[in-house]
Amino acid sequence: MKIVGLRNNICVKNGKMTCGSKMLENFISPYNSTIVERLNTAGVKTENIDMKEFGVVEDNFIQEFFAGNTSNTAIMVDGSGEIARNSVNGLIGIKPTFGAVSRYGVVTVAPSLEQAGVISKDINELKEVFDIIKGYDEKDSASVKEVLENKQSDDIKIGAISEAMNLVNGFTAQKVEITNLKYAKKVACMISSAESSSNLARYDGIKYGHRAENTSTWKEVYTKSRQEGFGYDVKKKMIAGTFFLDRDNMEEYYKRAEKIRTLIKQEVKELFKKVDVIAIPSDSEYTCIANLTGRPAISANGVTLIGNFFEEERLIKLASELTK
Amino acid sequence: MAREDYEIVIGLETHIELGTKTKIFCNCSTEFGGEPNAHTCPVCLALPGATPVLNEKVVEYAVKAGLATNCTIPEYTWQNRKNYLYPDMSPGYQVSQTEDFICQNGYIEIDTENGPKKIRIYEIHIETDAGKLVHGEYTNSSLVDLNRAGVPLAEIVSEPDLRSSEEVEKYLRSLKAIMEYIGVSDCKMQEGSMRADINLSVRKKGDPKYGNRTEMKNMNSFKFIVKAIEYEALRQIDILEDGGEVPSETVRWDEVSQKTIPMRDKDSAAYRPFPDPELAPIVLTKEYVENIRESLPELPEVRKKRYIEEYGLPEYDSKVITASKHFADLFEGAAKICNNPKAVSNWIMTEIIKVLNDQGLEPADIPFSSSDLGNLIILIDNGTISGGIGKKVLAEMFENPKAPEVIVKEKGWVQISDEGAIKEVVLKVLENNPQSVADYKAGKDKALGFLVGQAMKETRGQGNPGMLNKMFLDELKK
Repeated sequence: MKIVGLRNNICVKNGKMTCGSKMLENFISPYNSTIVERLNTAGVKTENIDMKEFGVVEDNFIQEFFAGNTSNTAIMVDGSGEIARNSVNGLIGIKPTFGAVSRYGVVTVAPSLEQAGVISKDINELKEVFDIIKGYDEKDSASVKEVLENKQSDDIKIGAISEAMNLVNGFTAQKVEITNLKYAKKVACMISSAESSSNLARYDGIKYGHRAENTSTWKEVYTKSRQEGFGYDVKKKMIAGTFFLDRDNMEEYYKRAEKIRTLIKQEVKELFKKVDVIAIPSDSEYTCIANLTGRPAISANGVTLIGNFFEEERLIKLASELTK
Repeated sequence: MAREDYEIVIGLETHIELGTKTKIFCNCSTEFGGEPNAHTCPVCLALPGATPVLNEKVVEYAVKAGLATNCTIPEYTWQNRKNYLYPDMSPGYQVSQTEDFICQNGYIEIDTENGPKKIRIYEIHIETDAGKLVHGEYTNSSLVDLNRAGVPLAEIVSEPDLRSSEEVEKYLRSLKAIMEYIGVSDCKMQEGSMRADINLSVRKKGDPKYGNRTEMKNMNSFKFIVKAIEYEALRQIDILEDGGEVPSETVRWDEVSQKTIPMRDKDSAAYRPFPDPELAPIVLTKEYVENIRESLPELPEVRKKRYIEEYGLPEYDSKVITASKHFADLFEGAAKICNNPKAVSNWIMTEIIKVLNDQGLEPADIPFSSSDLGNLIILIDNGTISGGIGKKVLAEMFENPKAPEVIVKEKGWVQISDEGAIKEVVLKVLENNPQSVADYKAGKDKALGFLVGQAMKETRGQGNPGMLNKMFLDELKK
């Protein structure tokens, strides 16, 4: 492996990074993300993969990239199960534990949900690339210095939500239930909208990025630049998020969403006392459970397995059996 | 009703710049000044993808400030984003705290006419400073300098326990002294590393309800603070006396017109504060907090008492000297060396304070060490130089800092105590001033002073005044 695909929201020094947005159409990153630093050290080159604006709208560029046959592996950001949904046609994808791969230099819309991961045609290469980019980085607050190793027996207990029972044929699986599962997508959407309204505030036309012409006040620089620079879906998301965080709506929307997120985390934590992984369908709206809980997830053959924190290696092993 | 029938109620929000070497979320220098945008990096410029990491020193300094002001430190706290757009705020939000603050429910004591008074501190929190806009370099545009962006601040919020401009000044001076002692901030008002927002209302004495309050933002001079409070209190009383209602608003002290002027305010409730998703929560274990508590140095109040007991300083002297850590350290170091604490305190309280005031300097700017001051006093005490020469040496120590003995030697200022030399001068002066000799012998004692003065002139101030005095008396008796 000499080259991997890299989504256009991961900084490469002196490289054009648009995040698929007019807002950053001419932005050249003056610094490397930690991911790219580590790839460089390992002698791995990168090739750009386009995206739709800030990843707010999903696209098929990952599939096009793999069809192009230049590389077996790509690195992309996952905020609500994009890696799972792209792990089709023989691709295997891993969304690591929150903080397992440094977020430094990775452009985020909703930082509490997003995490860069790896997607590959080949499970060995997936592991190889993950091993290169993972690990402690002092530039990322979510990064962890020491990972407590859980005792891992070879005997893995699989739990599956009812929709996934038929996807783990050949394995012994027990059916599990997450009562708040039905709220997961809405909660993730509310939280990511709220965070986006703040996280995209830095794109103001003042320091870098698209700047409107013929402005006479700083406010006009902001409003015109943002009006011209952002597309419809990004604007919609930010406006919704601003609404959810507004003092009159905060309790009912943002705080409520965070409460349900906490309940989901607790419920999932309880389940993990009984099982080692939880299986869900990769094409379902439930994949965002991995983002809401910060847990790692591996996807192959239509099934996504959510694991315990920092147990990516175990998940990769399991996936290689699953794909046999 | 008369103005005396009203009570002024004041609460302060005091911002101090924490003296960490690097910014709150990156490794950029916090140094004052520098070329515009020299102290910036992807994080404080808010470039796409740059993630913040909390500087642990900021937490440590905030906890120190909290413990030194008798606050409770919670086991868990976090930082919120306050969202607002302005070109000096690079990420489009300020990282601050709006609930469950890092320091809670403390107090400090100030001296009042009626004895010590507790001023309660509601909370202390950490937050980021903004950059600044530079206007006027080009027409039709302003420039942004982000050197200050991400410099750590602590905001100390008092309860509305202050009742006069004197109390406000005492409270601020006391806060400044405490922060200096524990080394978390130099609190230099003129450089903006300490500034206060003053919340002020008035009410009739005995009224349990607070009146509507106004907020005076970013006050950074004791002089202006006192003037502004007095003006604003009277303005509010006049409104009430005229049967009006004080509008709750933000006002600005205008030094030119000597008035407070209403200004447009951002609606602080519209900041949409929520936990910064890029930052980890702050966990403060009991052990961590206790370690910091144990490492706290002696605070001003304790030191004041100790100087009275240990060095026999009068209470007033001890208060003046311990009000600044720099004075206190200077005093104690010098007193240990020369073993003459009262002389050290006199030198600080008269000559040194005079030089500082004349040159507009702060105690922190004193360029010589405590051992230099101690050695200067030794030179006077052992008769090497006179007190008068001592003042010249001190001026030189400010001007061109060197050890006092070196200055004395280089300038040839050693006191003349040689009996033969003194006698020679005395005889010369007597010979040149026959009229004064006659006056003295005629009973005009003043003439002696004139003769000694002439001898001092003759020796360029270096004659030992005690010896000269005695020698003149001896000679005149002859």
